[in-house]
Amino acid sequence: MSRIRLSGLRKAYGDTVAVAGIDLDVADGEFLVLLGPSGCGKSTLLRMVAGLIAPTGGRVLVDDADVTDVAPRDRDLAMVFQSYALYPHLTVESNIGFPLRVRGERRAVVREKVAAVAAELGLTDLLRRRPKQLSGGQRQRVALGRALVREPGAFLMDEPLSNLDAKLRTTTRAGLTELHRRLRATVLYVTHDQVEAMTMADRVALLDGGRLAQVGTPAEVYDTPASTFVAGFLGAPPMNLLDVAAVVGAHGVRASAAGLDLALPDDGAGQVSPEGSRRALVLGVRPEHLVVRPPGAADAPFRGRVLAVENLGSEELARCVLGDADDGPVVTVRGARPLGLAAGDHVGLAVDPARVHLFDPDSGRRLERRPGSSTPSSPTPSSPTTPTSPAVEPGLHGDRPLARSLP
Amino acid sequence: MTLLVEVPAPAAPAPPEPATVGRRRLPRRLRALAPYLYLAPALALLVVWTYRPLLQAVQLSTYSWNLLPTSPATEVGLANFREVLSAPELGDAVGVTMLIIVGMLPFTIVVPVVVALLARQVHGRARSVYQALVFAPMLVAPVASAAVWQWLLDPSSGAVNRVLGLHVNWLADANGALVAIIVITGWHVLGFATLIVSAGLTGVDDEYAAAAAVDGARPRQITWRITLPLLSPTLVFLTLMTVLLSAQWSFPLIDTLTQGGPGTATTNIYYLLWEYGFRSFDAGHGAAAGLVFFVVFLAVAWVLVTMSDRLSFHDD
Ligand SMILES: Nc1ncnc2c1ncn2[C@@H]1O[C@H](COP(=O)(O)OP(=O)(O)O)[C@@H](O)[C@H]1O
Ligand SMILES: [Mg+2]
Repeated sequence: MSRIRLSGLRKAYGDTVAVAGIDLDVADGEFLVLLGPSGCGKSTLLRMVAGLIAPTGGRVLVDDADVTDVAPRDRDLAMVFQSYALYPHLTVESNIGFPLRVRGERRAVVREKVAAVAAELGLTDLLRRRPKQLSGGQRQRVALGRALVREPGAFLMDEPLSNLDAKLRTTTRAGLTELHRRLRATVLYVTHDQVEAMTMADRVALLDGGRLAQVGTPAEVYDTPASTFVAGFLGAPPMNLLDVAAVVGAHGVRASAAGLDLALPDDGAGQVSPEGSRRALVLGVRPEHLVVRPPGAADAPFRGRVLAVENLGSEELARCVLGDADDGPVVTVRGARPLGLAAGDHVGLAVDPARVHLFDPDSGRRLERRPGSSTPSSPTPSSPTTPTSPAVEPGLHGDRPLARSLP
Repeated sequence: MTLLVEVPAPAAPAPPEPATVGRRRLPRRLRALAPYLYLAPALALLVVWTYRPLLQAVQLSTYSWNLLPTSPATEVGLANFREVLSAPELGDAVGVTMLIIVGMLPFTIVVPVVVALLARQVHGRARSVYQALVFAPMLVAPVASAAVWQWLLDPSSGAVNRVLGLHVNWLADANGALVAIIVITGWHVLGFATLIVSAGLTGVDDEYAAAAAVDGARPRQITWRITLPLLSPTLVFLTLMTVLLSAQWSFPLIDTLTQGGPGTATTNIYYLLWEYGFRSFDAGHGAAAGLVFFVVFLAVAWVLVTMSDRLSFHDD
């Protein structure tokens, strides 16, 4: 299996920048998921790796060999397309055997290998059919079979599950994970579905407008999102993000907004910054980390009113507007059903301060609270592969203790 | 002891209110009529200009008449058909027609496919220019182009002989005349066929070629194994057009350049029909020949359409 490295990979269509300089290292045997909303450049990136689109700049390396200018057929990569792209005029058998036939493999060998792959994917009874006569799930397996039959250096997959219904998607997901474990194959997998990313990936690379927003294990990107984009993309519903003012007071730093007065963990703020100095912040809390308290409870820094409650079966979501005004900031609370809330209820919400995330309102980058640290480091120390280009922005204070970044 | 009570299934929904029948009936009937109203103008034209003449031809084919309003038409039964089918010139005309069809295939299939495949690499304004150039011959009236070609084919001073370094009297030579008719007809329809192939290629999803490229196919393999098979509906359609319409396409050129000669070397079936009707003024033979060709082409079309359904792979 192969290692894939991208350096400064870029693609522009006229003034539209589809992919804006990507550095990424997919290790041998790694399952790396490229995750991002529709139109963020995932397919373009994958097609540049496959050799189907010529990059505007940057290099693609497969196992130390620069393949940027190498034809797709000589890159030893297999691809599963979102549409599957099964050849409509060929039978299932000829579709799976196609990569071997065009490489001049002998008929007998092709038949043998196709039979083996078909047996593995449960396609043996369908070999004589044409793609039109297959269900969505069967087509997906044929597309996978066509990729598997060659034993390529790496697999590229562009939203291979997006045309399946929800139930089939879940089982196929498990099947793909199992396949990856067995083959120890290198997989570069594109999806807009965070559940696929979280469940299948060794590492997730989040893409935002053609740039890498964060690279890390599923746990890292979920627990320590590197930016408001990542925080607002992951999670269903995603993280609550609130514009707050951080004020240094006599007893540490407090974040305040309409219906919110929260003490941020002490990091020696009083010693560094003059009392009374302020700074705008974005405060993030995941819906499942908000705890419902009685209105006016002393340990509930959030104070608001329930707008609506949604029943998810095992859990409930409550959307609450903070403060007294109707147009105040809205947060979502997620908890085991029943939450004990009804629309119109006044409510207090508590949160473990360690679960509070802070972001810079201008750059959107994560701010780490690490008392006493003065050595510059990445704003997300837990994910060393975080790209340097988008992270290092002038005037970014993410690597310093919060209090020191206060003016 | 606990009593277990089965949960009843949801009650069947109440039947919908009966529609107010009287008020809805008329609009619905009108609505059913609407598509036929839209079709009516086209149908009327077809009836007046195609089906009525067809019936008249059937009628005419059983008469002997010299087209003069003053002379009587005599009923002869099937004699016209017998005479047309046993006429030696019919066999010759069918032979010429088939040669023209075969000779046309390179112009309607081979060259258009090659040109359209190559033209995919042309983009932007150059593409529009190329399309205009390729399509232009289609817009030239055959009679006008015939005059120009006659001049180009002139045996002593024509450009064709000079370029080819030959001294052929094209239109006076049996083979030369047939070749000239085929090439000039081909030149007329080439652009049209190329545009149809280009349209067909646009209909073939690029994703298949991309998949084949990643699968390891070379450009030539992609063309032969993926693109051309997926283009088969277009190719079958063009074959159908060529078989059914070559005789018609070549007619105006035959009429202006060779009048079916030398001898009967360029007399195709329609020219023969035309000779029956308007040279010999024998309406009965003309109509009978027309009906025979109609039935034969109907059969050929049916066979080709059936074949095309078998051969074509529509992607979905
Ligand atoms: N051939 C093209 N011409 C112009 N813009 C394109 C082309 N292909 C993609 N784009 C643009 O590049 C961006 C990324 O597209 P794509 O890679 O398909 O996104 P994704 O796969 O993440 O949904 C989009 O904004 C899209 O409009
Ligand atoms: Mg895409």
